[in-house]
Amino acid sequence: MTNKKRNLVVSVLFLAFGIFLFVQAMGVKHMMKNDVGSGFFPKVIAVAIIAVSLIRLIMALKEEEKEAKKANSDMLGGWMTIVLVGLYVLAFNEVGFLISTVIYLFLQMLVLTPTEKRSLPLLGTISVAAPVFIYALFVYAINTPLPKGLFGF
Amino acid sequence: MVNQAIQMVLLNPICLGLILLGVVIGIIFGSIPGLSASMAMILFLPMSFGMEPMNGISLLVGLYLGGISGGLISAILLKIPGTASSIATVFDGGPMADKGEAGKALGVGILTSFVGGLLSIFALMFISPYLAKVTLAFTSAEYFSIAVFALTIISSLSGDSLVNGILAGLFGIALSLVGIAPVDGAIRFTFGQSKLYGGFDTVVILIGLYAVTDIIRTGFQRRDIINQSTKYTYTLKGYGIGFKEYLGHWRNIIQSALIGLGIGILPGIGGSTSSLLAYSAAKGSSKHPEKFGTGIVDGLIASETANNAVIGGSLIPLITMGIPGNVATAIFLGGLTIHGISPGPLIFQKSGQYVYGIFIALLVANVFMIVCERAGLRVFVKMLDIPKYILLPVVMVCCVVGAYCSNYSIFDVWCVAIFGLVGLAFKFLKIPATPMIIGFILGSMTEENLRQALMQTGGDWSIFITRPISLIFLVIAVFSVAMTVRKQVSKLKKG
Repeated sequence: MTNKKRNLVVSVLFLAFGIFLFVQAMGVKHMMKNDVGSGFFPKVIAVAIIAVSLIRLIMALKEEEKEAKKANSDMLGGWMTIVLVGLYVLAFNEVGFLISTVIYLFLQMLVLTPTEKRSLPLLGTISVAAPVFIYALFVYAINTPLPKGLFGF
Repeated sequence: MVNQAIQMVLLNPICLGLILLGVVIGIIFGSIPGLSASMAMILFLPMSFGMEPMNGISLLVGLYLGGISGGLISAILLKIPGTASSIATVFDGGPMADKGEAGKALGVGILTSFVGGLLSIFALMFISPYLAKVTLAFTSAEYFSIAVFALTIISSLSGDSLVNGILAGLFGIALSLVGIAPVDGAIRFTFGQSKLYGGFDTVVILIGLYAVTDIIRTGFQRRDIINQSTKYTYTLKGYGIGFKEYLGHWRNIIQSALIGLGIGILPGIGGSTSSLLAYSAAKGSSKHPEKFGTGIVDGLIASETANNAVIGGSLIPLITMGIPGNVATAIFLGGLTIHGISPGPLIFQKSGQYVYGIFIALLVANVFMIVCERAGLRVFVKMLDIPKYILLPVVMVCCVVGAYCSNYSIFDVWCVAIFGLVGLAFKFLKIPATPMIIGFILGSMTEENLRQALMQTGGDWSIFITRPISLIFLVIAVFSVAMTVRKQVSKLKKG
């Protein structure tokens, strides 16, 4: 994506957000007579967002198209990480801290570790030891419950 | 009374042991993102009730001091601020670690934490009644102007694009609006979700934007992980900075300590604002402001001096007037009252020995802090030798646990992931994320005091420029924005 396109996206996104915020702020009820009301400050912020994003838009339109350097990024690694983090936070409460964390840690390290350095016994040990340690620390040492989940631990 | 206090604290091994325990646990809580000094104090508060008064109070003192200072460890080594107070520590501490100066950064951070803490404890001991009076001169008009001034730091932290930085800051302020509004308690922007009534937690946004975004980006760049892992050796003498060199920063140190002290005294602002303000003040008064953010000790000194100076400052209104200015001092107040010590103007007559006891405990805790952190420095930097593909997932788990424990709410854990994606989108669109956090932290303070001030005057805006302290802050704010805009415009013309 060129810089120009990127800045155009930014200005349009924030413009939409500013308008959305303003519309929402109009619905906030005025409750106290002497007060500017809870909708006032949000409207100020919304107007500021709209104004700044318009400046961004004008600046972006004046820019020249320059092809940006292509970043050497690894789509598979990134998307798998996003999916793993998403699944982990969803499973955190349902499946329980211990099981969800052991599985997450193992898979996440597997995704991030370069193939030539992959040592399954090492990753396996860490992904079991770390959650057990954290669990013991929180639940027994500082008396803070963590989600128990399906199996009661 | 002083003799009694010395006997209760200095000559009492149990009390000394409890301070040490408090400091160590505080450092651990402070260094893990998501866990904080106040959380550690809440956990140990019931335990302190059962102890001798001075022992219980000393434990809380140790936890408070250790917890604030511990945040610098993860801020420097992981570039994830352990607490909101150490956000500004990341700006220069992170780049220093990248350059292989992690040991030096930690050393200077620890040393200057000690100095900042010490200066504020002295202020608490010797001039607190006078300082307490100053707070009475601050009304909501002054608070509003301080918040506006603090928001201008966004302009100097926006990196290449000022406009994108401002947008991010405004977005942060918008996020702070969610939930029950200040002043009239109107419920807004919750979209029918009762979980949003309380708004978002700072910790949640902090962890999302720093930790989650970081691990996902690592996923996208996993091929580069091996190439990056250049090994540094950390040989460190003393604190990584010579005595003379450190004293050369005296202006910065005093200025930051005063900012921290002042912010600490004013109820309700907090350590995160103090370190940001000190950082921007140090940058503004520096001869080489362009080097800030590239990994110089100046920025680190400003941030860490200020956030530790908040400790003594925040105890001033608590002890002299019984006003707790932040969560930690509110818990501390609970710890005092349960033992029959009621803070206020009469505290020196009624429970003088405990006041002196608190002073001594603070000094002892400050010494324990510097000793423990200096001794642990070797272990801390070892963290960098752990390969990133192992370290980051484990940090991620700690962060999720921290987010969960701040409110015991699974909703917060989901928000962490969502803010991680927001941070990722920001990175992709080249929008700096730090202004968003600053906007979020200062947003509610700005709105609340704006509305309160306007209520007092019946809607007359001139209050902000007719009150001298308020006017000064607004003038500096306008000045600093004008400077940044001028710089940006001349850069655009050149480029």
